[in-house]
Amino acid sequence: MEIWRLPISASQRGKLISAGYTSLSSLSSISSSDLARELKVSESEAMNILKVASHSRGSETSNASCSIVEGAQSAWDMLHDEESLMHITTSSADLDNILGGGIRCKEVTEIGGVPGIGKTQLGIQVAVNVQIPNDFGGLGGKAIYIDTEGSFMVERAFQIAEACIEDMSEYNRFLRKDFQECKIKMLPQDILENIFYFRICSYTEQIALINYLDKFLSEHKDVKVIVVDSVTFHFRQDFDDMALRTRVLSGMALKLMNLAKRFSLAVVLLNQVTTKHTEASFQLALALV
Amino acid sequence: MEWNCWKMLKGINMSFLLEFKGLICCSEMGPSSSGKTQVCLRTASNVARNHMVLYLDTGNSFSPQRIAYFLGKTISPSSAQAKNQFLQKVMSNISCHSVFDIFAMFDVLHQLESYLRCQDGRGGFQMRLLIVDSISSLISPVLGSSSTLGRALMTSAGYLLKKLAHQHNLAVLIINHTVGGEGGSSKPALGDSWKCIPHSRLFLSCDRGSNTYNVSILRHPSMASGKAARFVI
Repeated sequence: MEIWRLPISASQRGKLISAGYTSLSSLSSISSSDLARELKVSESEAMNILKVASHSRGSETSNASCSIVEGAQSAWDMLHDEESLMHITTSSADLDNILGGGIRCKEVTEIGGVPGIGKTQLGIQVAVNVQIPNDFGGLGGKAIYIDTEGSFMVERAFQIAEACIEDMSEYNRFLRKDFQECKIKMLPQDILENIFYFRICSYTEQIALINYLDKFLSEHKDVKVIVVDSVTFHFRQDFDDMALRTRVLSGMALKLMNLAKRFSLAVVLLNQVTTKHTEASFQLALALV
Repeated sequence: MEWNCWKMLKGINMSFLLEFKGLICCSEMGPSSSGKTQVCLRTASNVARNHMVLYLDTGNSFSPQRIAYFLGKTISPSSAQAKNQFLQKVMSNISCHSVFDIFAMFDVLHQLESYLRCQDGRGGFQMRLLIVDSISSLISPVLGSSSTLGRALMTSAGYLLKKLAHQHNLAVLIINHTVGGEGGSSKPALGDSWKCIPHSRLFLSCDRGSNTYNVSILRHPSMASGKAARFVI
């Protein structure tokens, strides 16, 4: 039955099958108002179902001659793309060296550490550094900061933004000694304006936000980094069903990877560590890996 | 047409031949960082010299630089331009597509099926290898306890892969993870329902702190299970 393959909810699928629509071709000739009447759903839901069905059908009949499947890239092209990808510097040369130049776009980077080691500071630094303009070797993009613990401090972000601008003007002075000293037109307020801040208070909000980011990112195309401060914080307490927790977290990770790949941005996840008891010794391990 | 899988695994220093004839659906499993993706990349780089490869990546683990490294090791040192041309020719045979949920994978597999149907008629480079890395991360989010849809999707995915392997003489290499079972031993992530789908299953593990990997056969149509080998990538 081809209806299985459609990404629609289980109740809609059940209604379609009980009304007799078992294959995609049976949905091809019906209008959305007739479908809504037969299934007893709203017209917008029926239109959604038809749109999804025609999309799947369309992908079957299209026969791309150059690429095997739509959206596939050859390894050669990917090699060249990788070489031209920009990095987001973390303002620490050693850390940049370990990361191979900085935080890379189209990738999800996870940073974990004991409490108080500076993960939030690093997150704020990355959110500021992504806004360094292209002339200074940065990406010139905006940032999304998702805060689950409430540890984002605006005053600290202001300090970091001021320091970043000072750094840039010093760099300017150092390099363009013979030119007129061109002033940096950025102010710390502008940097703070370009950080989109979301505060999450429960795991349902976290899941909802990750689902909503798709729409948000298509409206704000210049976002280049998403920083999630403590991605597992709300999942560590009060979650009864362990299997459901694993499934939800892995689904969330896949969605974030999808966003990173599609919109060419970097995702930085900050995580806590736990002690794991293996082979009679205690080891630090990233929480909920 | 017999498709000898020994050529596929040629890059790995194994102490004995693993021969797979005819249609293949091979599933590899192992704990985290046991070298599964490296084996896939090595296989892809070997097969891509003469055939086309499609790599379905679910976790951004495909690395073109690693493939270039494997290919660079095998050719004799010559001019940079000749090496570049060789790399371009071979790497253009590998296509990589990212899929992040099971419905996207179904779409891709159906497109692949229609592509293979027209390919069978003409000559030239043919697609011979499909790698799915990793199927457990696609299926685990939908395998819920309440509805049976997840299991149905898993079995239909498995049978679709088998059908592709059989009808179009394709070798399919699937990566699976292991999870902790009872008593501390690890067992494959997709449980008993998945066991009967692949034709052969390999278990990879890595010795802690060294570069050697172990692979052992769990299931194979013509060789005894339990045989093991060590290799270095």
